[in-house]
Formats: sequence, C-alpha cells, structure tokens
Amino acid sequence: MTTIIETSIYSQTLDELLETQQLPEEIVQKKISAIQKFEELGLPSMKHEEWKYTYLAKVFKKGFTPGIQTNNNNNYSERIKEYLPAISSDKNRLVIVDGIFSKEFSQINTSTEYHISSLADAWENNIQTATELFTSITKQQDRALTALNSALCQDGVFIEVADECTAQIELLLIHTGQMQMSMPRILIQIGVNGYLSIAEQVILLENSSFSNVVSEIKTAEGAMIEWVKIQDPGANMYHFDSCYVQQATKSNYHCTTVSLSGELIRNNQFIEIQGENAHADLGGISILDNKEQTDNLIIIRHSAPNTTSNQLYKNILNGESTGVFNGKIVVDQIAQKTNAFQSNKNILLSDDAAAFFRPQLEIFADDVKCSHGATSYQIEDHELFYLRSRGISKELSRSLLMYAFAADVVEEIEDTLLREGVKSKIASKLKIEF
Amino acid sequence: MIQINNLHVSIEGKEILKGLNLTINKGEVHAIMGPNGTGKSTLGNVLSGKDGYTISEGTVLFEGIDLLELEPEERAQMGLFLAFQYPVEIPGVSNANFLKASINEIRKSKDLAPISATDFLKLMREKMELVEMKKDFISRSVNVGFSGGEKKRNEILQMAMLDPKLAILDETDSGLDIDALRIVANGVNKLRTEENAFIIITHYQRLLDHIVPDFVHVMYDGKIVKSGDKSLALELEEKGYDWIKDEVEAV
Repeated sequence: MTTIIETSIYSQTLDELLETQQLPEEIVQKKISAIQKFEELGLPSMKHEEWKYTYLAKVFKKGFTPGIQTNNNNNYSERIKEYLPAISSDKNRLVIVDGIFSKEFSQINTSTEYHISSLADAWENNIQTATELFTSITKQQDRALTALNSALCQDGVFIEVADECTAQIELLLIHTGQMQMSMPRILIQIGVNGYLSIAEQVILLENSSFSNVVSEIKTAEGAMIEWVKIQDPGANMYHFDSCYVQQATKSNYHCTTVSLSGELIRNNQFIEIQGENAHADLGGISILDNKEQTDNLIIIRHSAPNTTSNQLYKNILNGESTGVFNGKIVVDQIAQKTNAFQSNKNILLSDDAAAFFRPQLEIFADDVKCSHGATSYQIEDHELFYLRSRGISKELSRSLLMYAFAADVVEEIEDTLLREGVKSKIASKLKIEF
Repeated sequence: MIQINNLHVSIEGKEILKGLNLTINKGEVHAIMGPNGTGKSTLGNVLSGKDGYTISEGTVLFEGIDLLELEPEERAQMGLFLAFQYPVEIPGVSNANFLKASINEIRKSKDLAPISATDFLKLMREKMELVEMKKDFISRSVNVGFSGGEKKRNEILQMAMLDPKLAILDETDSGLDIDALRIVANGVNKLRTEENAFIIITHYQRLLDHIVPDFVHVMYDGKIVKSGDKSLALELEEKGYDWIKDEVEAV
C-alpha cells in the first residue's frame, strides 16, 4: 500500500531546520517523531483507499525540493503586490510566501478579541496554546503528507479567537514557483461562541510549485468558522490541503472550496464532531479544463448525539479534467439522531472528462438519517433557449447556466462579502461580466 | 413587420403547422386563439428560433429579413420577444444581472457600449413599477421561488426592459388570478405604441377584455382558419370552438 521513495532528503531538511530555528523542546520532539512516522509510512500508493485517483509518488518525483525557506522574495515583491489590493487599516491580511509568513506583506490589527501571529513567532515566544495545539488534532500522524508537514513546517499562522469574540481574516498562500515545496501550518483555536471567517486564496506566480498545507482547528462550545478557499493558481500547481477539525458542542464549521485551476488540487477535511448539536457544512465547486484534477476527501466522524453534517460537491469538467469526491461519514454508536448527507453533482462538458464519487457510510448507531446521491447534469435545450431568446449569445447562455449550477454551493456562504467574492471569481472564470 | 407565408413545421416527423399565413403590421395587436394542440405555442417557438422543429415549407420575413435563418439570440437582438408559458429558473443570477446581460448583449450586437449602471437601475425601477414588482425583486434570482403569477409578471418586465418590436405572449394569462391578469394587461397596454406589435396567444377571452386586439385569429389543425376583429373572441367565448371545427371539416 505504500511506495518507496528516497526520504533522506526530508530528514536532512529537518536536521537543517532544527539547527537554524529556535523551537520549544516540545515542538522539536513532535517534529522528530513526525519525520520518523513519515519515513515509516512512505507515500501512499493508489491502492490506498484515500488515494485511489491520485498518484502521489508521481508528484514527488517531479523534483520539488523541500529545503529551508528564507524570507527573501525581493525578486517577487512587485508580482506579489499585484495580488494585494489596498485594504482598510482595520482589516487583517495574512500573507504566506512559499510557506513562510511574510511580515512585509501582512497586516495584523492588534486586538483584545484575538491573537494572530506567524506560527514561527508564536513558537519563538513560547505561546503555550500554539505549542499544545500542534499535532493535538492530527494525532498519530497516520497520513504521510500530514506527518511530512508536521516535520518540516517552518512557519504558518497562529490564530486564537477569545470567547464571544470575532476575527475576520484574508489569507493568501502565495507560491513563487521555484520548484520548492512549501509546507505552512495553520493553527486555530476559537473560544466559546467565537467567530472566525477566513477568505483564502491560493496563488502561483510562475513555473510550478508544490504545497502541502495542514490546518488544525479546535473549537470551543458555540464557536463558528466560515472558511472560503479560492484555489485558482493556474495550471502548474500541485496543492495539497488538509484541515483537521475538532468540533465542540453547538459549534459550526463551514468550509467551501472553489477550485478553478491547478494541475492537481487535493482537499482533505477530517472532521471530528465531538459535541452535541454541532454542525459541519462542506461545499465544493470545481471548474476545470485540460488535465486538471481536484480530489476532495471528506471524512466526518459523528461522535456525539444530535449532530448534523452536509456535504455538497459539484464539478464542471471540460477537456480531460477529473473531479473526485470521496466522502465518508462515520457515526459512532453514541451519536444517535445524527443527520448526515452527501451529494455530488457533475456537468461533463467533454467525453474525456471524468467525475468519480465514492460515498462511504459507517454507521454504528441505529437512530440516524444518512443519505448520499450523485447525479450528472446536462444543460437542457429549453433552458438554453430561454436565455438565447433574451438576446444572449449561446456561449454566454451556457456560462450563465453553469453559474446557476454552482449557485447552491455558493449561496450557503453566510458572510455576504465572502459570498460575493466567490461569486465574482466564478463569474470571471466562466467569462461572465455582471 | 412580419409576414408568415405558407409555413409548414413538423416535430419528430409529425406535422404541426400546415401552411400558416399571417401578416402583422406595426401598431397592431393580434390575438391567436384555438383549442389545445392546434399549434399555437409551436408558432411562438418557431418564430423565436427554438431547436427541434423541422421547417419543410414556407417563409417568414421579419422587417424584410429571413427570420428562419437566424439564431434565437439574433432574432431577439432584432427586436423579437417571446414571453414564455413556462419561464426557466436561473438560481444565483439576479433579475438585475440577467437583464443587464440581456440588454448589453443586444447593445453589443448594435455596436453600442454597455448600459451605465445608473441608467440601468433607473430603467429597471421604472419598468418594475409598470408590473408592480417589489423592490427586493431586483436582487432575487431569476424566477427562483416565484409564484406562477410572479413568473408571468417577470416575463412582462423583461419585455418592458428589452422594448421589442414584436412581442409574442404565449398563454401569459394561464394560471393568473384577476389581479395578476390586470397587472400583466396594464403592462402590455402601456407598452403598446404605433411602432411595435403584439401576438397574444390565448385560450380565453378574458385577457382580451383587458388587452383589446385589432385582429383575432382562430387556429385549428395547424392553420389559421378564421380571422376577424375583437368580436370574434366574444363569439368564441360564447359558442366554444366546435362550430369552427364543424365549419373547417365541412369544407
């Protein structure tokens, strides 16, 4: 089930990292055990049930190098600034360049409501939560990419939202495209009834890049997260994103991925619903062409009664592109009255495009409602005719109907600004000008 | 404005229109009545360019141009409008955005710059008043969650916004209550000018109480079998269609 690759380069990188970076002893220990775990696991082969459609070793053989990143991006400053429109001074913008937090491009407002900093700073300043949270949700690291990130992450973001408080963040993951591997870590803890919204964008400046970002999110009672990930890096990006979420009573986790380009985008969501009346809502829309692929793996574990989850993933696939949705719902025996749904809808615009849906249900409780369904959708002639009869060209009519197809994923986003942002991205991808 | 000459149309091998003739001049309102399944809606669809019909014979000239050669959007850009019997829902696309797209596509076809946001909003507000639409309508998705009456009013709103030369109303009155019927009819009446024309396809006289037609035609078996003025509609309301069928079959 694993593929053997040369791993010494990764342990060498860790040695180098531990020499150059001052880290709390606890973190050092966690990193050492993570690299051991990674070497032990190797890379998953396509026989691994979570990797049926994505051949990870092939990506690793493309020659991306781990290596210690220095925050020396002067050559790219002007290019990076193009992605940073002016924002008002009360906003928070976090910019990560090749896995390293950029103080130059970020803007953080100090507030009593939250603590936001680079992860390197949080560790250097011995912030207890940042040390404790690290690997507390990924746990035994039984996934190779997660173990690799735990071992080699140098930096990232640390966010702590206080009880009853709110934070709103713009997060940019920028890759300069120098064949480097970037592995930022994002640690988030939200207090009782706290609220966090994140508008994330994945950007590639040129050539090709590999990123392996891991987030750990811990919620207290009643906490809410609204996270929108806009993934439009262009063709040569290999982007692996894993979110590990631990949900307390009455918490709400809502994550929407909008994948508009990328050679390979893998989105993992590992969600543990541990408190009653908590809800997880996962949505995704991919609009792909050529040989692009998105692979969404969602595993939701209901471990408390009266919890709900909803997964809605849609693909619009052209060329030889591929959309994968692998959704697993586990309902523990204690989790009575669980409601869990998964749905996959696809528009295939070409004969060579492919959509794969693997629903998996593991239910150990008896009083639950779980369902899954997949449908393929075609733009109907009578719909097209309606739009064309209003003077709209056939091409734009088709685009508008595809936009309409994506609408229910997008309409779920409660934050108006985030929602409008996503809508305009999708519209421009479909060449619609509103 | 439009001359339909000996139009023969079939769908999946079945002939629906069997030599239809109709000429409409600007400033005129024509009502087309007739029993179910006689080809009334087919006529509207064929004139607007819907796919799936085979035209075996006949010509249609719209403003002197061969209409049947044109794509549906080109016909709309020339000033033809069909108010649908069953309008399509478009989730996530607001009425404002939809109409802006429509107006700008039509403007583009005439080499005109896109309409300014201010002009558009002004126009939309003015026309919404015409069909008594509430303000929140601007941002609602096209036809999503609309009642039957709202959908039909929306068709009239779209017509008002696009200001067509020839509008075809395909059973716009079906499923409308008295108030919605009055609103739709008022809308049409206010849009009537000396320069445009209307084809009103309907089963019933009641819409024609509100929109007074210049001509009434009866369709039966794919042809117009009787034409007259507004009094013909009253006669049909009173006597039904059977006497027409009898007359046709007696010939």
